[in-house]
Amino acid sequence: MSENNTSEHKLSDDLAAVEASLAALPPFPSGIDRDRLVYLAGQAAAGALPGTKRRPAGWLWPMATAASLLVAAALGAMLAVRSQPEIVERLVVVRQPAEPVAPAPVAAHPAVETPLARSRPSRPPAEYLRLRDLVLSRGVDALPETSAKHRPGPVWRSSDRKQIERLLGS
Amino acid sequence: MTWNNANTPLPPQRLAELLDRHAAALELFARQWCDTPEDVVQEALVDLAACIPPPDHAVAWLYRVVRNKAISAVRSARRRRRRESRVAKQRTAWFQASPDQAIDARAVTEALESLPESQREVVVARVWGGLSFEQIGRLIGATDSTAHRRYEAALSALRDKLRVPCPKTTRPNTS
Repeated sequence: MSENNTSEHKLSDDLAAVEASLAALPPFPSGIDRDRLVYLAGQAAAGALPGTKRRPAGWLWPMATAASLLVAAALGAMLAVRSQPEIVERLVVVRQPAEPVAPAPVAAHPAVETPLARSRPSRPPAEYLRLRDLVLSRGVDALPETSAKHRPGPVWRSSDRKQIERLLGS
Repeated sequence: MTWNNANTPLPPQRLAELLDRHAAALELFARQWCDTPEDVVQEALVDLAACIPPPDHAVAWLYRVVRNKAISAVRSARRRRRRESRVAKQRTAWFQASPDQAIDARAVTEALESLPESQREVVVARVWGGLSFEQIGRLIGATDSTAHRRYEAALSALRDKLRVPCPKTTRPNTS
């Protein structure tokens, strides 16, 4: 190292001897892995070249997370300290609408229900259906013999009978 | 020590050359502050590879970056916790001991550790790093005269501690 000393930085002989003794002592060898260093250096150099796509900054995601947490905390605080909605009691008068006038009766007299209409069954009786099936399967001869007195006729109710007698003027 | 090709990274051969010639001294320099000198020097070399254009004086640049990184590393609480357990093991590993050396490596380590930090870093950068006093002055943020004064003071202290004999008077006659 003495050769690098300028004239104004000249060392004395004893200090130069100390310097030479120290310089003769080699530092402990480096333990850096050369292959790994070259790999990392190449990676860093490739990233530093102009025109290469750089990775997003390392602080981007932590900052986004912190901002989200801040917003969430602010909204939570607003929800916690928000005053309850004020209940206002207000008297509302609702007038009852006028009661509608009852409609006049359409007919003064009830419709006359004729015995014929009353005697007409709305649907075929079960006996008729049974007889029809019997005729279709076994023929007419299979019909049971029935007398005239047993033949079913219209059933008159007492009210119907009275109404018929009144119409007939009897 | 200069590389003037702008807009291109440092070639791998140059990086390997710096590793071979200066990594050990850089680790010794970083070891003054932190207990992970290998990591610090490796990071500095990687930073140098990513530096476009490369600095004019790569070695001086490396010493400055290593110094900053080592000082930052020692502030890390995680590394500080490991420091206590590792420093004791690495205390004798500052230098490569050899039986034919004039001075004992362990004694030099202890003598260097006893120096003030401002003097110790100048000695390491000068003796093993080969930096000029002008470069050391820029490194420590002082003038080259200040660096030289600290260097002389450090050598005087080391001479007293190590009792280094004058080679002219004590060298054995080999004839």
